[in-house]
Amino acid sequence: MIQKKYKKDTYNIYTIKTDKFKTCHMEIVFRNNINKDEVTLRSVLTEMLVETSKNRPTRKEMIIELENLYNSYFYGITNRIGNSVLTSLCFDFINPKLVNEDIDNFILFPLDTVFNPNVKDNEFDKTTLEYIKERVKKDIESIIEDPKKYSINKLLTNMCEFTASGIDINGNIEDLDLITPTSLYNYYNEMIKHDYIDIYIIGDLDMDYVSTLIENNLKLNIYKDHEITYEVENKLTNKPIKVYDNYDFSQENICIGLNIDNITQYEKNYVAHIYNMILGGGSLETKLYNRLRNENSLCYNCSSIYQKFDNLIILHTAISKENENLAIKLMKKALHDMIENLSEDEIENAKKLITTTLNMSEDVPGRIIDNYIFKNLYGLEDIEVRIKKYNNVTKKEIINFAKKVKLNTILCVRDGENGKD
Amino acid sequence: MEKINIEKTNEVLYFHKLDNGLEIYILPNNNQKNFYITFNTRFGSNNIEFKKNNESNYTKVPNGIAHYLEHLMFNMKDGSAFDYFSKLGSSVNAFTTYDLTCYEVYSSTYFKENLNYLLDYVQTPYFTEKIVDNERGIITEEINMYNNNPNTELTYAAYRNIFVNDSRKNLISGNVEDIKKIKVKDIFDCYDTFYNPSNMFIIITGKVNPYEAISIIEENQKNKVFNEVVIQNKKIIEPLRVVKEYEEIQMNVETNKVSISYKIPKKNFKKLNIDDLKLKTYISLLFNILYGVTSNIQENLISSKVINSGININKTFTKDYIVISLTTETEYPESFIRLVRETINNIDIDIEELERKIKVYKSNYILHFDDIETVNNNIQDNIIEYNKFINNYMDLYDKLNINTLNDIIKNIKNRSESILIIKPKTTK
Repeated sequence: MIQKKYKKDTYNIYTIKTDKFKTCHMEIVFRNNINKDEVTLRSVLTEMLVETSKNRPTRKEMIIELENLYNSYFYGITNRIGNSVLTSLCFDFINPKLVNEDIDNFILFPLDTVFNPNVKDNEFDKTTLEYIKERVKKDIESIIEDPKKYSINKLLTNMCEFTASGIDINGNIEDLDLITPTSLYNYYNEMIKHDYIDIYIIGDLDMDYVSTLIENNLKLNIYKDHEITYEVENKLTNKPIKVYDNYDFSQENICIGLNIDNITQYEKNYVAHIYNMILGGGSLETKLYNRLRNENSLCYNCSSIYQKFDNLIILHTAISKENENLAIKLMKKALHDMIENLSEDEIENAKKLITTTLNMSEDVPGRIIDNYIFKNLYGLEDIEVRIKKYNNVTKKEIINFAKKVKLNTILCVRDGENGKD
Repeated sequence: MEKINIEKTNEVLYFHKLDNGLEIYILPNNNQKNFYITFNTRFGSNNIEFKKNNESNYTKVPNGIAHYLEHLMFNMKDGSAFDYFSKLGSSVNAFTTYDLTCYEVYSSTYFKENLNYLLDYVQTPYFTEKIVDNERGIITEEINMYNNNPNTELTYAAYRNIFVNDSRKNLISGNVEDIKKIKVKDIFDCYDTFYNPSNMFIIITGKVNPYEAISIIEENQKNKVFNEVVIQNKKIIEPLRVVKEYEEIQMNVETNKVSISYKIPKKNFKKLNIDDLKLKTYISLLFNILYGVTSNIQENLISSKVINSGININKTFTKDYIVISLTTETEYPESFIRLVRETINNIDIDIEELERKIKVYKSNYILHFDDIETVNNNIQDNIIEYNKFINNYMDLYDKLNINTLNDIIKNIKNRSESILIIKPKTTK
């Protein structure tokens, strides 16, 4: 795989040439600091930009064109990465050589769609916007259909009310109602003007040609030099709280929110991942799994999520209501065991599983690009280096890290009353 | 070992059958860093009444037993199979469908160790009263978890309403009452019957040397002794009628979820003299054209604001029936249902659209070889449905034509219909 960077005046193109896949993957990435008041606009705009364009003004025309391009797939994703927001407009397409097609038809499709949107008289197409708003509304409201997502969302809202970690990237209904074709187009212009833009492509393509093709078709005369910050500082608490949220799912969902206090960059990038893998992020033999499922048959799933840029760890499980106290006790026991009862075997197994997970990511074009993005934006090291560093993490380092993990909030979602203990 | 060229691609599948009946399918992709191995038994939630070796009576076991057995399989006398795989750093899991149970390993290293241990743990039954009881709590919570999920319920409740006798009317996991009935003896009965190598197959995709893989499997199997087993699953006669033509249920949803299902007997098409795979492909194409993303009905429903999230098309092919379920979310279920009915009663296919969809199918087929899990699952489907690997999809797609499609359309009128609506709970 050959990585190459093409620096253009106002954006960069990053390429990976490889003959490993029949598929090619291209991403146009917009990034900026997150603004709570704009997340709903961002969410709608992401949908809008992949739905129609000036040259293909209906959804049907867009999809017919994608099917004509051998069922290419065009989609948008907006994620919050700590204090920043990152919108990727992704295009998966067959290697044109395999079907004797002109490469230009493929590369120009996402450029034309994103930079020549369905706009007339300085506003987005009203009909399409109304439809997109309904769809986003449904996405926001349908959180009640996913108890795990609902619980984690509630936990973060409670625990991180004043930081970016508490922002729901889907947006909210109040802001959604205020979006008009004009306000959305104004936001689009702001995004083009103020967001950093990068283009990533992987595939068996002539990348010099691709770069020139993009340059000839994408002229942006806007310069950006502001700083984007990623780290969120979430405050610790001296007095952890237990919160009840009333919702009648058939199981009780328990979420535990943990802060990570004062860690080094090395701990953040390496030790924390191993810690999380052993605690609940890895195989079916984690501390949480063993305590709750294997030894006590309390649940089907229990897991931990490490949110690197938020300095948070979140534990989740779903159980029968009568087992609430026992489940919380066992979750706390699993945390305690990370300091007092950690074996070399667990550490070795976690390292091997992380190696496998990293190797798995090298067989999927989109995930190779993700690694490339994180390398460029956040200084993530190459996979080989990371594997080496993971393998050098010691038991002492994990225990030291474990001591910096502090309980903040326990949230129980169940049929009953709202309130705090 | 047989080498099977996959038509109009550069791919080759290696096939070998051992003396004990175990079938091995290997599709190498040495551009990949990882390998994916599945060890499969033709034992799913549908297999609840069976007899072996000319027994006079059928053995009936509780619903959900295949899934229960899948959970138990990881227990070993000296701990859990996960212990060993954890030491290798492998990603391991299992799943049960209506027709099969699959044990899977995904990794990039220790190929021989992973393959050997996958064979060993699945071929080492260790079930005690205590182990079986412990698992009951876990599976109960799994069932409760699915009960919370409206999308899962949309499929399961639709099946309950469509199938009169077919076991698809039951949850793959069984319900909480079903699994209370499962005993150690039932587990052993099923294991001894369905986990015989002659009822099983291995599929390996990704980075693999087929000769080495077959040699490892042969070596592993040569000292293991298995009795010969001939399995007879009880034949189910499924009528055309459905259990319920209309049902409304309430769940935690914000918008109605609607499913309209058509149950079409395969015998409708008997006189057309086309094989099952072709029929399946034509039907799949037809419903994608009629209700898929570029269909007129989607365009109309979206522009009239009846729906805003498209229509999902779920196709189920049983031995005797094709079941097509069209699902969506809408505030106006009646309008959706009316337009779906109008569409199926007035079919007019545009040849350009057919040709474009065929192009889509061909492209999807070529690209699916990039993904070692998808290609593995596709081989699984072939074996379960046709008992062999299908190597001529591209040729099949090339020969699809409007005349045959029109003949099929003429024969879908004999069908039954079932509607399910999941409505928001009136009180939260």
